[in-house]
Amino acid sequence: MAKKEVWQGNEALSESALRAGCRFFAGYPITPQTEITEYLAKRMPQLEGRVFLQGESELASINMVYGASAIGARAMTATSGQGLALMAEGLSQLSDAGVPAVVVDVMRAGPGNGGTESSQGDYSFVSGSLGHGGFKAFIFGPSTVQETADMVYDAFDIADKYRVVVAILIDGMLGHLIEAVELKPFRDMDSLPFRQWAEKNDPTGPKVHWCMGPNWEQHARDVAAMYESWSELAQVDEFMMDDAEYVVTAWGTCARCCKTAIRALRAEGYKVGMIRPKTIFPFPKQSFAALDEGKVKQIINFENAIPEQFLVDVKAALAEARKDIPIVSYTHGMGTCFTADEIEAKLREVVK
Amino acid sequence: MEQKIYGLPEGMNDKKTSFCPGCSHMAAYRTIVESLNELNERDNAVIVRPIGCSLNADYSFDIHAIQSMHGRASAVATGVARMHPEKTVLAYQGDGDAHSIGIAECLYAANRGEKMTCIVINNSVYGMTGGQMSGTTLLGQRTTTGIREFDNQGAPIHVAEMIAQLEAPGYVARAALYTPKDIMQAKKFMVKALRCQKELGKYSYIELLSFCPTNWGVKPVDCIKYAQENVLPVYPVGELKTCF
Amino acid sequence: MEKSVLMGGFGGQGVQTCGKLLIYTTAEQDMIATFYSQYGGAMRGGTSNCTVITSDEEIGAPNKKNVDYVVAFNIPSFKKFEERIVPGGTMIANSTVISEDMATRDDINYVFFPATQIAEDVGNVKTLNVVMLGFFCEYSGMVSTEAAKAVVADKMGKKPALLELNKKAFDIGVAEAKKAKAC
Repeated sequence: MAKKEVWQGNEALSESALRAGCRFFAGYPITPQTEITEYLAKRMPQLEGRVFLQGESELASINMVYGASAIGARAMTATSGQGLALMAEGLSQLSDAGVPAVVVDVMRAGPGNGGTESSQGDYSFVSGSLGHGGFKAFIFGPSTVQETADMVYDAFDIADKYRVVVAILIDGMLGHLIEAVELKPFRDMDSLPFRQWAEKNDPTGPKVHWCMGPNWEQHARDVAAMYESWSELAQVDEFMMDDAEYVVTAWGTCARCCKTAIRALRAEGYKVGMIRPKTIFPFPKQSFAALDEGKVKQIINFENAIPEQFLVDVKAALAEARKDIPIVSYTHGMGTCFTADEIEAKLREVVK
Repeated sequence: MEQKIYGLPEGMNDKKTSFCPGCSHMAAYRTIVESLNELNERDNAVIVRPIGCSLNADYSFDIHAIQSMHGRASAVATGVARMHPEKTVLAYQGDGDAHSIGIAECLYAANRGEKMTCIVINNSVYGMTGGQMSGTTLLGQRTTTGIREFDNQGAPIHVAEMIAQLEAPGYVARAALYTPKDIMQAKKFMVKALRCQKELGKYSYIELLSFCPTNWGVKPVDCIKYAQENVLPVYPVGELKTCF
Repeated sequence: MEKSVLMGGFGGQGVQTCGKLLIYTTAEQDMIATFYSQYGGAMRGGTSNCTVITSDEEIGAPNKKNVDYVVAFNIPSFKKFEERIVPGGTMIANSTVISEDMATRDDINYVFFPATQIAEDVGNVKTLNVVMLGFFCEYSGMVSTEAAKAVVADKMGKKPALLELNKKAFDIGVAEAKKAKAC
């Protein structure tokens, strides 16, 4: 095993993206994402065939990514909530045109200008629909720096394979965490999958990146079927679930804080476990379908968003599986995040 | 013995379009295709198309195309040009597209000196949505969203002149697609704009004044007179900046 | 077994760098560790703090409320973070600016040493964070002092003159910690 190196979340993500073959990045500075833009501005010129460009806005940046990807380059952008709102139009166009890209949202607090502190408040915005129209992104929700690096590495392959936008949803806390990670090696750029549809490689192919046409409705049906087929790609971390009577549901950094609290309760013999989705879409419904109503007494949801967003998916998964298990939910938001101590205290109230 | 003296250039077909009678869009396309043919660049070209009336000719010409969102063509073209500087990259935009909703993308692409040519079809009105006021609507011009008054909307915006003041662009010109003579001048400018991009690696901007008889409320046969009397005094044609 | 330290001071005192040097050291020793800092408004001029946690298993919460050690560079950090030390934990305080009679708890240990004074004596007040690092590593044993010194030499050695100052600052910090442990 290669020796682990110490990386900040944002920078590990950036370096891993380059190693995965990202050739084009356009972005606009915004806290807490800025380290990604700064790192790539410095790093990309050191590598052959890579282009970094600071756009005049997020609006321009996502469209630059669209152009670069449509012509065959693996491309990425990164932003935070406000920027993602501006990018919504472009992301919608990419998803309709079947042009892949990786988009990173380092979430910050609140709607409007909000605050720069960490939050999980873009969950619904990203997972609901990719901009207008209802098409979706494949969404990763990592909780450690290692997972962030690994997921962005895989994100480019998924984006290419399905011709979709892959979103990496992290928050300011994870973007700024520093942990030891093992980064994957540089991809051989010549070995990347052939993008037959890209302008450069297919001069005889369809000449217009534009799905509208006589078969547009069928195209949407195909896309919907593709989303269905993703259910087997869902990734989940089932933590201490084997005999769990109390099941915590959480994702991202909030979930890792739950782990500390769960360990503390486990040490005292309480049967607490956690379902932590690692992919937000596809959502790991299987884990909820597998819950034993006779055994699980209570589901306890924690998230750093007010009102709850993640909880909606949890409830939907339970409803779909016709599981009638009581749910209680706790939230923080607007820049305040759960600490392990608070979670532990809440869990104690539930299990006593 | 029949002899063909006029027809579609190579790279254009006679597929049906849904342009209104008297529209200038096909003249603009023809100018572009002929200029690319002349420079032997058509197969090497990528055109980024906007949202607007130009969509009515979806499959009328044989140039690699990327469809952009309204106003963003210059940003999309930037991505293409940065990854493939050897391509001849065109952003085909309208006045609502490049001069209103996408003015930031348009100006910044120009200011960065992207290796591309921005072509703006200026008919002083939003055509596709049915004749609303645009940034280039003339003072006193009647639109479905009102008559343009200086006190309310200011004067028609002059983006070509703004771009000509920037340092990076190599070629900036405005031409008209009114009379055959105008169209020949437009073609001359277009070739220069493309050469500036191709040979000198610089940014080119060319604005093409066009008719919109439907939304102007002017009969196609009267359009030349109307445009010469009303549009040309506000938007004079000519080269504003040249590198040749 | 988790061990944790919270460092706090004014922006510009090198608190973040001190924490980063600590986590670089953990990586040299193949330890599992995480570094968490509050950013944003705290970045320029205001108070700055960071938490470093080491463990022998995957680390959950990076934003630990209660920590084993606090390293206070200034008074506001001393006041704010004193209550967050676990019973039996230790407050390491910069006595050049923090008076010993500010201590309010009797269930934690207090260790005062004149860190800013030492840095000034070394010749550059900017070495304050390295003095603190040397002291903390030696006093807490959370990481190897030798490994930390190697990291300082590697990361703080861009300018040769500053490197020598930093090495000296680190050594004095270590010596102070040995003295403190002896009493």
